[in-house]
Amino acid sequence: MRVAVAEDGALFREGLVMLLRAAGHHVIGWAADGDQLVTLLSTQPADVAILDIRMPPEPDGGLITAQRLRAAHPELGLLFLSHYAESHYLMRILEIGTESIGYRLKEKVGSVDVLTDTLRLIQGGAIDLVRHLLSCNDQPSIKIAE
Amino acid sequence: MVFGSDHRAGARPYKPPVDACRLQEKDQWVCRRLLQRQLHDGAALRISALTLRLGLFRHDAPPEQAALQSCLDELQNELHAVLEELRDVAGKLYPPLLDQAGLGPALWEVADRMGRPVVIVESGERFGAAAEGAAYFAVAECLASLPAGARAVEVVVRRETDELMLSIFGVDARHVHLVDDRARPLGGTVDVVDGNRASAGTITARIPCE
Repeated sequence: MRVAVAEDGALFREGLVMLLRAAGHHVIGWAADGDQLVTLLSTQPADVAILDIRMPPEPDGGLITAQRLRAAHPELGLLFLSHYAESHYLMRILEIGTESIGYRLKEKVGSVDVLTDTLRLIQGGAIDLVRHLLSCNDQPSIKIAE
Repeated sequence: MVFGSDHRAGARPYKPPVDACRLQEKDQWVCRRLLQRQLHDGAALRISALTLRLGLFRHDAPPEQAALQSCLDELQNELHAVLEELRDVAGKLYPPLLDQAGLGPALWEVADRMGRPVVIVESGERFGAAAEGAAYFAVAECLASLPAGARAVEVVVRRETDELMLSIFGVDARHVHLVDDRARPLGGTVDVVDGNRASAGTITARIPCE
């Protein structure tokens, strides 16, 4: 699978690239921010892009970048990584798309098998989200914007 | 000799000026936000990177060395637990979502996690670290004090010139101190209206903001 990575933390980015390569994926390139990723993917095709939610352009460059990528490359799978599992981000991710999309905690992709399973699901068009965010409370909250 | 007293002529207890106290309170919210960011960008990111390295070692470990594989799995699980603890600490310092997305999303998230029914009316406007931190923790503590099965609380956040106006409808008026403890150190004021029953009060705070 052809994978592109965008993550502003160098240590995590390097670890992810090594793990992807160990899993047998072809890492077409990596970037430290969303703009670099958009440039990279404009010249090199990929099957899935892995994006840190909280990276430049701040404050949530991963989401902004994903919107641009979904418009430019509708077939590109998107895997969002974050330190925090937040319903707020889940909703924003679902606004970007409900196909070929995933949302995982960063440490939860720390195995070759899990990473590969997640990428395969996304490449196959599925949606793979942080599970505990999908459980509903007995009394759901309501948000109203003025 | 009398301990704890000062017999020097003219000695009096020092009280910092009110403005200095407010500035100090404002600074502590900025400091809390900074510490939360340091946790996120420093320790948490390093530990997350370590889990990936361990995953790589786990992949490379010979299949016949089951004990080594098991040990690496345990180490990864331990690091996951450490990250959970860091998230908990970060949330108590200054919730990352409050920092990144503001009061509306952060309040919605905390209410959802507590399983408290809440209606939030806000415009997405930002008010600065201190006012947002004070308002967030005031509302979170009010929600935490609700009895099980309580009716929905309505939270309205808006700006009036240079003040954040926070109104909480449908809470026990006796919990006004939870809001006052957060608002007053920043120079804020708090009003309370008793309802016709225990959980029908209204608490309104005006908090100076950016």
